Amino acid sequence: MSARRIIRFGPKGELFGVLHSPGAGAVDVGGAGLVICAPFGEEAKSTYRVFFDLAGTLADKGWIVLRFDYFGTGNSMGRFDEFTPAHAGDDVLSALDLLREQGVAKLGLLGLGLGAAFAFDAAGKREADFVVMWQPIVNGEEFYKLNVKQAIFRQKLIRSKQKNQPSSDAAPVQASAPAAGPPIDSDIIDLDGYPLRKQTAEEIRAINLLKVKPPAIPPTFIMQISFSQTMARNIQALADSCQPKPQTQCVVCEPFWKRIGLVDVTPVISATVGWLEGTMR
Amino acid sequence: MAEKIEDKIKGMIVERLFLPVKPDEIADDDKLMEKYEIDSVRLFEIVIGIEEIFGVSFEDEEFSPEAFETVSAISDVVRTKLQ
Repeated sequence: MSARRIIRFGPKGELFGVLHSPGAGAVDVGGAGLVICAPFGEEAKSTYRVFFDLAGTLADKGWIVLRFDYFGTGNSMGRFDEFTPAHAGDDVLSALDLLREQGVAKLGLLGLGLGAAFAFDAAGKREADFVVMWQPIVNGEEFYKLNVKQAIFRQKLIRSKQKNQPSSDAAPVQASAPAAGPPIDSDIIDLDGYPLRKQTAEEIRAINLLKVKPPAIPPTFIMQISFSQTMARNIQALADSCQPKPQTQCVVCEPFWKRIGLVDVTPVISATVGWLEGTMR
Repeated sequence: MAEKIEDKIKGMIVERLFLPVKPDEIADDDKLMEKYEIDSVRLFEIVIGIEEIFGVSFEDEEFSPEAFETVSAISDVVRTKLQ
């Protein structure tokens, strides 16, 4: 059975991670390691258990896997409004360095959503042996606009419910429903309950994986996770822009990072573990 | 024969939200959030689905939860948009 331990790392020990290691008797896979890059905000909360299960599954098969929180999120140091894509990118590089120090010989990245964008970017800066991208955010501008739109929609829904409820029930809802999009103070934007600095919002909007041109990407697996068996245009465009060509797959599965309840992610985990094991052969 | 707007919407809802029902089991006037326990995030997925399938776009001020309460209400919005 695999083991796990909490680990502090980063230049000032500011990052919190959980290291999953193979237990006694695990298969020797030649020092394979994986850094998991979480998505953003609410999505990170909904994927916590999925990544825990994935890390445990791989560790049982002999892998060393690191799950961690970006600076300003989860158990890492810093306030949420100090989270920036640039800092998160550096955090991913620190995570790669940590696993290298642990003696990992073949090291890869797996990210979901915005985390997939961070993984892709990091793979171009440090030597990663492979990358797995789950439902990558290809275009930050589209991602940001969609989140703002969703926040506005959600608030209108809350206000509508509030109108239809007795006044005693309505008051707390109103108190917790500030306007989305517009700045709370001169420098903070409330993105559906998550405070973002304007500069951070601009950094997110500027993400465009079609413009990231690493000289050559390592073996890469791009997975679309949705209701559809047809690859979305932007994900296909990303795959087409990469050299060498990544492997792609559409997995029909609920977007678990947007769900509160349990979702059966077996097809996602199986396809991913299968690809990783094939890469290690 | 062209598929009815209501039927397209029902098919889209079942497919995108992975509802364990057949599209034709959804009545035009079923309150979606109540009957199928659809939360705000999933209701927003319906909005996106409508935009993609019918090639329409909703401005922020056009968001009205009542407009997405039932298949019938959504169909009215779509018809208005397509005019």
